[in-house]
Amino acid sequence: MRFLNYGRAIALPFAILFFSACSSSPPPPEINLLENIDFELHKIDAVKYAPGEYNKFKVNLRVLKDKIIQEESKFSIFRNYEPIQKNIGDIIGDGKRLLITINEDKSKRKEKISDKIKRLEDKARIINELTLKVNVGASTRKLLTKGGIAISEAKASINSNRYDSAMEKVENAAALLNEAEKLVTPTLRRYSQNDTINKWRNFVRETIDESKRKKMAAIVVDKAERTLTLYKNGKILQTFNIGFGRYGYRDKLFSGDDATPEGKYKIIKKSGRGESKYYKALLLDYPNQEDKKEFLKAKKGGLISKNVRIGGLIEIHGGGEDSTTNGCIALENNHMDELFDKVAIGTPVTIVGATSIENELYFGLKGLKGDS
Amino acid sequence: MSKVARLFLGCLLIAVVFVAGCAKPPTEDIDAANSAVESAKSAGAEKYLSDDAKKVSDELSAAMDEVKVQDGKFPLFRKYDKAKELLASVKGSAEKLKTDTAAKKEEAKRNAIASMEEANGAIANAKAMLEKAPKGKESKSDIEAMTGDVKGLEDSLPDVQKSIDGEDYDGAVSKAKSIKEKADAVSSQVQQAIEKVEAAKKAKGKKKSKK
Repeated sequence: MRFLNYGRAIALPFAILFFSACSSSPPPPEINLLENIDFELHKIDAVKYAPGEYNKFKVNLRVLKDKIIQEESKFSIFRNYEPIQKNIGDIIGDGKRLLITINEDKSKRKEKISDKIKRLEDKARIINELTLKVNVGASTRKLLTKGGIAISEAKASINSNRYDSAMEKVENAAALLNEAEKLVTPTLRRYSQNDTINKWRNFVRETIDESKRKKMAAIVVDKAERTLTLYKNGKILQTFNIGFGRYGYRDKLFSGDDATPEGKYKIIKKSGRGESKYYKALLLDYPNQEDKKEFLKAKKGGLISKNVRIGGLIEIHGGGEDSTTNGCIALENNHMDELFDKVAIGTPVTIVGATSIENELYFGLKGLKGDS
Repeated sequence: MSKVARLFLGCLLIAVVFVAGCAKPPTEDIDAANSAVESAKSAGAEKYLSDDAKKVSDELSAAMDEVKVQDGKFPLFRKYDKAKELLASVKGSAEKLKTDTAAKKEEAKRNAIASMEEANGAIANAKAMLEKAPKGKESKSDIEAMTGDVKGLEDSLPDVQKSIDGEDYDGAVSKAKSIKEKADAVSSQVQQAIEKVEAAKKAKGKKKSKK
């Protein structure tokens, strides 16, 4: 009997220990919330956007899990999750704060990249308009197209929350558009220089004065405005829209450059209907002395090939204002009719880039500067 | 029950507990699960199925924690059955992940190649349209500009192949789509110019017939 009592006394604690070892006392349920936070942090690329803080969170989570493991390894009656509870609360707080911080950072980053993309799109639009206007050649269009592709890629990257990739594409687009800009701006620069504009204004003023003084007709061609204005006795008679050289915004320097000359000329021949390929034509005395001087200077300076000639046969002719000429000035045929009868051989024709600093090309250049 | 019988039963119980308590960590299962997870990662799971890869990785971590729990127990009370179950589940998930990753990767590659072909076709179409574009002094600069555009598109096409070769299929699709969009815009512009010229011709023809 005594033996049985001893047996029970020994067996009871063993039985309790055995059942407590077998029974499972679950870890705090908040651990699931922590797991969810960790998954959310993974989804928002915490390892990329806040590597230090995320690593700290992961280390704390690991330490916490190790503590839980320690408790779980104990007999259930000895398990105590209370000290861990506070830890869990702290780590949940850290994780939630990290989620907010990263989301805010990402949002700011997205905004910043989107802003850059918008500015690049504006720049591409301006360059596109200018290249069509100024016609700087295929290489600029090629750069512009590649820049446009990079912008589209940046937008696609930002839409799929790949900000690093978006930023890379933005930088690529910026470099390509800057190259394109460099090819466009030399032609535009003259249209934003006060000295050049003043020289052109003087040409126009002298032409109008001559028309007034000699009581005769005079023509002023404004490239920036794409207009031809007919003066009579110093007063505006009519203004027509025009088309000009493929590289018309440039000053003509040599034969075949497809540029429209700038300077003071006179009509030296009138070709009526049937005498011109382009309806009717008014031949100018291009090149004048100044053109010849500039041509020789450019040749001497090696700016143009030694084999090129200065060119000529610059006319005001019909064919339509939409025309792109090899350097001539084109009007609609009915406008040519009106002009033709009001001018004579010897009528002064002054061709200038612009008469005001506030011209379209200046604004284009200004727009580009504003974007860069 | 006799004293001898009780003693025998006590010894038997101790022996059973010892045998059961000597449960060994499931090393082979751990290795198999680890190897399956690594294999899925090597197949690109983290890139193509990032969330699923994280889930499998977390599953593995949970299974290993269960092993640690048992390791920490008094040897007599260690039981690795649950850990084994978890590890088997991890292995299964990782193997599925590997298969899914391969399928996803193949799908992404197919999409990228299809997008590149579409872009190539759009460029060829734009070039053909430019050949048909109304030629004249008036359209020379426009054609020149669009030719430059198409050249830019052609120059960009090898970058799509480069992205495909580098397994950046998303990047390849994005570039190819952009190229196609711009090539289609050129074709559409030329088409409009053709229609404009044809309309002008028709109008001219009507005027003449009226005279």
